[in-house]
Amino acid sequence: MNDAPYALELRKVTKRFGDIVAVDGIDLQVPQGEFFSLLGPSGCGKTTTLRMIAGFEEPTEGTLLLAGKEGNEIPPFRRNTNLVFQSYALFPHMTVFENVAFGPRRARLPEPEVRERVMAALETVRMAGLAERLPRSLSGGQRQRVALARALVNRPAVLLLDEPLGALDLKLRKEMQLELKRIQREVGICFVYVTHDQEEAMTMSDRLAVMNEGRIEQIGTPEEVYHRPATRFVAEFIGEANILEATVDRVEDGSPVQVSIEDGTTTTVASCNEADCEVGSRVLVVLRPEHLQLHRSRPEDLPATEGRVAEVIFQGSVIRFVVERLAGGTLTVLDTTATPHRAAPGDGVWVSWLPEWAHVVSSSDL
Amino acid sequence: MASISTIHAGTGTPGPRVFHLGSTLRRRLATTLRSAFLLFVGFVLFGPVIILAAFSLNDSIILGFPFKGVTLSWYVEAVNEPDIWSSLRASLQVAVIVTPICLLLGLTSAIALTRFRFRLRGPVTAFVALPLVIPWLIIGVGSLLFFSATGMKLSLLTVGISHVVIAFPLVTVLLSAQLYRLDPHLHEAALDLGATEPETIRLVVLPLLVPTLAASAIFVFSWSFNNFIVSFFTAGFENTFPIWVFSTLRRARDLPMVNAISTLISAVQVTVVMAAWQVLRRAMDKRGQDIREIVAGS
Amino acid sequence: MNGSVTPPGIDEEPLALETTYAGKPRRQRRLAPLLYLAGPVGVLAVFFAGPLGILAVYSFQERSRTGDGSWTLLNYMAALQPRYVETALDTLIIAVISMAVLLAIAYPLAYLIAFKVGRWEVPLLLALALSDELNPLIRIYAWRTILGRNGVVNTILQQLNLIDEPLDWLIFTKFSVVVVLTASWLPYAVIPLYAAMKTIDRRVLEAARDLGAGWWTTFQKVVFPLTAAGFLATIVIVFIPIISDFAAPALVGGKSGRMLASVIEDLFLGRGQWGIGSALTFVLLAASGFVVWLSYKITDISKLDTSR
Repeated sequence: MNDAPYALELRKVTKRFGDIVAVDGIDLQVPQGEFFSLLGPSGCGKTTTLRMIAGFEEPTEGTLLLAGKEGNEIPPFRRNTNLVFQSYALFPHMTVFENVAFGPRRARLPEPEVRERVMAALETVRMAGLAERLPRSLSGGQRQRVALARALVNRPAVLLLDEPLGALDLKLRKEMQLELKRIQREVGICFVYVTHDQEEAMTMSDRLAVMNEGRIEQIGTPEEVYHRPATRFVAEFIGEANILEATVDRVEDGSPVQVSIEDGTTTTVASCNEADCEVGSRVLVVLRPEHLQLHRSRPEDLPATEGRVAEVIFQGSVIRFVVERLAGGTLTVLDTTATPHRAAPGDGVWVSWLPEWAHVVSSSDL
Repeated sequence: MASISTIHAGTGTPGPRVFHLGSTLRRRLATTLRSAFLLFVGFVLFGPVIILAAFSLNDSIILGFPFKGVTLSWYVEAVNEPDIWSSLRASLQVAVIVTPICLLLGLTSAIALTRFRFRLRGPVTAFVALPLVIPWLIIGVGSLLFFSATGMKLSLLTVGISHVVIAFPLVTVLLSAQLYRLDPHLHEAALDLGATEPETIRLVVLPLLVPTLAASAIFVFSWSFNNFIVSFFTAGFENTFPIWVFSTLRRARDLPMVNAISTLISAVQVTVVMAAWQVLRRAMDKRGQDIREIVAGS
Repeated sequence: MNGSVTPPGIDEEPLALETTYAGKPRRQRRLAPLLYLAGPVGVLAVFFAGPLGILAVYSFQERSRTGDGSWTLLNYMAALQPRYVETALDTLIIAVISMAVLLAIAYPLAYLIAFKVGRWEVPLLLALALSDELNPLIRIYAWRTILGRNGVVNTILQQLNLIDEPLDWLIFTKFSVVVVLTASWLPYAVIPLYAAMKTIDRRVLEAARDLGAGWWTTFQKVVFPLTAAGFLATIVIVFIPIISDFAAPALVGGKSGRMLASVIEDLFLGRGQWGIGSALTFVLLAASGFVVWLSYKITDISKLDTSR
């Protein structure tokens, strides 16, 4: 089993419910031991994808491979996958121990081994002390841990998690994110994690797929996805993005290296996800707020655009400036609080950017 | 928020003492009225039966005052009346057989109507619920005509059949409500952890339905045991206990005996039902369910 | 389930009810509901639809002791005779008054149990259930101890010298039928109302109070609109058995408290007039059907389904 290159592979998988296309021909490969996230807004098809992997839905088209073997029609109770539900779905009439032992007992393991495995799993999630409690007497975070142990104890090839932290409060969620990452490293199982929270996905994932309207927009490491988004959707869904319309000035190896934005400013750009660009085609430049800087006057060695400060918002470690461009539209600039000079609302400013962070995406989905 | 306003109204305004006194008085009046109302309802529900029990000890043939002294002679008479025992046995027989059949039919129909999607789901749901809105009298006389037209001899069997027709749809409704309340992911979680579908039903769905099934059983059993109107039309020459009570009530001479046996039966029913509810409540507590759910869900 | 976190989209809960999964044989998917429903639907198709059908047929046939089963409309015309119409009107009067009294008691009671009695909530619910487990005939008959000539009320009034002779309208009149019907169906009236009230978030009531709404305003603007469905469910659940009740008029109704059901019973069991009996039965059924239809019309059907 471990010879298979991927723990999980989807080839052109489509799922339709009547006329609605929930998942539209997606391709995906997840290697053994990876923490992989499916990220997207609600209705993007991520949960349907997860349910197909778990076996609760059959793909309408395409192939699902589990550890290299075709798995479209394997029923959920014969699959080497386990799912952690958002609602936890703990059996309310069973103790924590019985809940976790449910899987091993279905696999007809001898009772001493069941006991050993269950306690080990509870140990992993730090819940061994509460084995005899009923789910209703546990807190949300504790239930979450039990649900995780109940899935982990079966040693699945792929562990699926459906927004498992959605019901927890912010502080607990942050804590559990690190905890999940630790557990994943410890057990070395491939995790497929569904969430609509980009920060959560960035914190934990080795790689992630951004989904929108049933399609995968981009697959990559958090850094790739953040710094080199494939589409405008990804740029705006992951973190904050300032988007400027531009025209390509110069192309090298099919990639634009210099563009000019509408007000005439030219800038070199560092990277591009647009495959075949020609001089003169319209593109979008993505600039992250933390890569922008405010100046009282036009900076000499940096590309910049002119505007007026509309709002200044103090956020603790950073200050957020909203700048209205003279050419239309707004830009968001993040600066650390440590910076001494402060612009005030109404000030005329120049906003510059570092060309080495400027990134170009196609304007076709404008 | 509410408490803040209360404090404000009570002490924060000028002249708080007067206001405070007024609101306390009003609250006390409200509490008194509330208790009086609840006592009134208690009397409406149980008063007549309790007074009946008292009169069953009255050494007089007239149901009412004056109270002429305590006697157990009516009880002795009742216990020695063979018709009482045979009618009680008939009612128990019917209820014992009707209850499990209703649970089975209610369970299968509830599972089918809540767990599967099929074309006729709407019409079938309406059809199963229909007996709940048809007057029992009509089902009673209809059954009488039906059984005589099809040549089925009226007996305890025909009584049982018409009881099933009326009682199982109620079980369907109770169980469906509970099935809807269950997290649908529980079912999937069990499948995901390696349970086959029969195992899922046996290990997860049924245990969570047990309290509702038990409540349904209590309800159906006592409903069948107590039912008069349907039995009256479908029993033919058989006597169930309610039929015996009804016919005996027309003979003034036997009224004291009816008082006595009614008191006895009511006492047994109260004891059994209270004990059953207690057991049920404890079982539900253990499962983290609330007995009020069953009431509210019905 | 996911609703609180993400708004429902097409990939949230595509099937909350049915169990389909990968690799499940399609034949099994198709046949499973049939398998489960064969018993219950079969029983109803024979022993419920059968009796109703035969009633319908008999109501259009010559079916007295001498009748020959030929087709006729005479039964329905006979059912419109003044004496039946009078009884039908009496029945309606009794049923409507009983309903009004019942709701006047049940509504505040449900409200108290749901919100005001604290730890007495479950005991009171159980008391309601318990009273319903007692034999209804005994419960009806027991009212004679209160309302009878030598009953509690008359005895007390006489002891206090407020009356010389026992009041004769207390028992075997419409009054006693209304009292007994109200007492008999109180549990059934309270439960759906209680269920509806339980769905009201307590904080909504507190918010209304906090915003300065008085008792009446809170009721009018918050409680009643939110319990309207339960209110109508109660009317359906209780009105139908009341309008077709037979035991109460028989045991405490006397001559003036006769109801339609007593007449129907007499036609079937006493006089063997099956045809006219069936026709009258259908008049009764039409009345009940009208009530159900009206309530379903006014409320959302799906809501009724779960709140019943």
